[in-house]
Amino acid sequence: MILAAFCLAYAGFSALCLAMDRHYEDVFDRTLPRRHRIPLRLFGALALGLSLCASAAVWGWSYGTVEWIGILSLAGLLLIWFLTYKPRAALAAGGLCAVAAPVLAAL
Amino acid sequence: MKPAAKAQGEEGLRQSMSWLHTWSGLIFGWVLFAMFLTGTLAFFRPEITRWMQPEIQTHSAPAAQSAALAQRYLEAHAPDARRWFITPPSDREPVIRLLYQAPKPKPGERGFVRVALDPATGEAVQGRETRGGDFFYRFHFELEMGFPWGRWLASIAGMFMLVAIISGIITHKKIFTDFFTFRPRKGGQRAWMDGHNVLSVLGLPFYLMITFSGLVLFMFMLMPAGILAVYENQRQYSDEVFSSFRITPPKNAPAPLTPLAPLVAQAESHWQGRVGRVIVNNPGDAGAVVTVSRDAADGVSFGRISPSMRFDGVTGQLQDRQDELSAAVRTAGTISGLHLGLFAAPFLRWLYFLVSLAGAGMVGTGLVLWIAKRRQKLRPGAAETFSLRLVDGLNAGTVAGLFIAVAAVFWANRLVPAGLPGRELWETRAFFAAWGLSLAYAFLFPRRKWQDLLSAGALALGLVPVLNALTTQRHLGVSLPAGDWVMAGFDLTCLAGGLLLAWIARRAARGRKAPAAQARAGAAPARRGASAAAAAPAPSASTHYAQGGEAP
Repeated sequence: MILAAFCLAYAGFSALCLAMDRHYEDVFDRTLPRRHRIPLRLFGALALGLSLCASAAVWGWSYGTVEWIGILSLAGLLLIWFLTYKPRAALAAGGLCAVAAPVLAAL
Repeated sequence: MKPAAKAQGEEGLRQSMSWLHTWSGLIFGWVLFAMFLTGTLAFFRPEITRWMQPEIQTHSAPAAQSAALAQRYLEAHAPDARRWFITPPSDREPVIRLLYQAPKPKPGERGFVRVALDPATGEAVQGRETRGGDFFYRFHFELEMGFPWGRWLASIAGMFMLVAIISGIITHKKIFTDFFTFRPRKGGQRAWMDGHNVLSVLGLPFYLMITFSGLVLFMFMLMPAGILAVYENQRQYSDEVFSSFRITPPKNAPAPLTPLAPLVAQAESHWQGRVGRVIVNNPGDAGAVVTVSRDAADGVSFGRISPSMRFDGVTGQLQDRQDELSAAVRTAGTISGLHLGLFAAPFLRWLYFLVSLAGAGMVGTGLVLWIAKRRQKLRPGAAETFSLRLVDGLNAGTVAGLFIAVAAVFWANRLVPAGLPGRELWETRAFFAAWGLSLAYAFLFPRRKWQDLLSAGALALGLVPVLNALTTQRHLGVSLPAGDWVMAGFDLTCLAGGLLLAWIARRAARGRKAPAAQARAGAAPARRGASAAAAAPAPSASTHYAQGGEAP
């Protein structure tokens, strides 16, 4: 479940990142179509929110929130580091995390 | 013209905040870096202590059983002491810790005696004398200065940290647009700015929390007015707030102490939790009082004040119980609890460690950025000013030097003979000697300082597992198969730290060499590049300058 929370945080940040022109261009070599921006942002926000729920489901809300903030920081820093050197792989990993999260949560 | 006026006002604010951020960050940056780094280590205080006393190998035991052993030992060795403090073993610290005040201390001594017992046998365990993880913990807020000066300096630095964080948020124009942006290839100021922003923004909730809560931990010292307005003196206040520590008067009539084990068991079953401390006032006296407090690791809000039960020390009758703490106490407890992180399970503890390390990185990149900005403004061929050289030297000597200093403590721990009296002082001396030498080196070899000091730090940290293998029987070859995660985790963390430093050192070396090659080719702008890149272990500041590009 903690892994699921982490995957959701990473996937959420990846989606939010893709919703930005600069990073979208890095990956797809074209400008971000407007109809993609809102769904990406919604998905990103939803994933981050679900990540909090996943963390709270294990530890309860007070401990879970603290842990969630830590997970967010770690996921964000890892994504940025990865993104700097391998932008496509970094965001592909975000997609992978989005797929893996429900599986990990179900386990 | 109103909007224009408003925009100007905003710019004015941003500029003044930028000034504040730059200078508050610079003046306290070195102290703050040291506080961040040692504070990061302090999250693993008991684990570091265990690594530093490899001859002690004990296992945790139930608290009630341990209380009985502690009572047996203390009745034999300290029957006259005014107070006993007993800390039952935990998974993190598998020894029974005892503290008592000797009835007649030698002149000039406070007479506190500390003993560690093996939870299996109840015998005192003898490890090498070391301050262990306590050194880093204490240094984090006392900076090895006398009481209360170190605490004051640390608090003032913390206050400036808070100023730097808030002014930094206002100064940072594009928090959201630049959220994911790190462009080391751009080199120089731009790359350092990105790195500093990314490290700061991602860890922001943690930094705000840790800085504010650090100040709250010292509120009794920093803002005593409220306390003195309500209470007659500090003692009265602490007796009420920290009631489990309250001193009770003896009746001066001997009476045997009730067995402690049933009281501990009663508290455990009442809380459905662990017992963190047992305090006995006036043992062996008719006025004996036993206070049992819950383990701080049991809840986020138990940082400083946890639920407690008070018993009559002769009859064992429950006298008083503090289960529900008031909202104010719980709030204060949560704030300090978050800072101390005692409640954190291993995974969260690692998150604390990593984000806190990123905080040290934030301070470090900020310091380097100060230099990078000013280097970029220098006219080509112009000599560096004294202030630039001074700050640059202090940066390298502190940021890189502190890693060497930390490693020096671990080396001294293994190399100073275990039986040497006062050996723990040598560990502290090793820390300061290594730091001092690093600073000296940074000023003696200004061109090579980053690369060399970082490489030295990488070697010193990375070789700790080897040193451990040569000097103890609990090296990675043994600890990994045995699943001894305290020993193995420590060795592996040192190794990882060494690798990280080696990576940064390599980047620093590359940043130094590439522009130097350009300078040999006789290109005039490269002169500027050489100084800018030498300033900083800039991740590939070189590529930018090698292409002859201009800074944005």
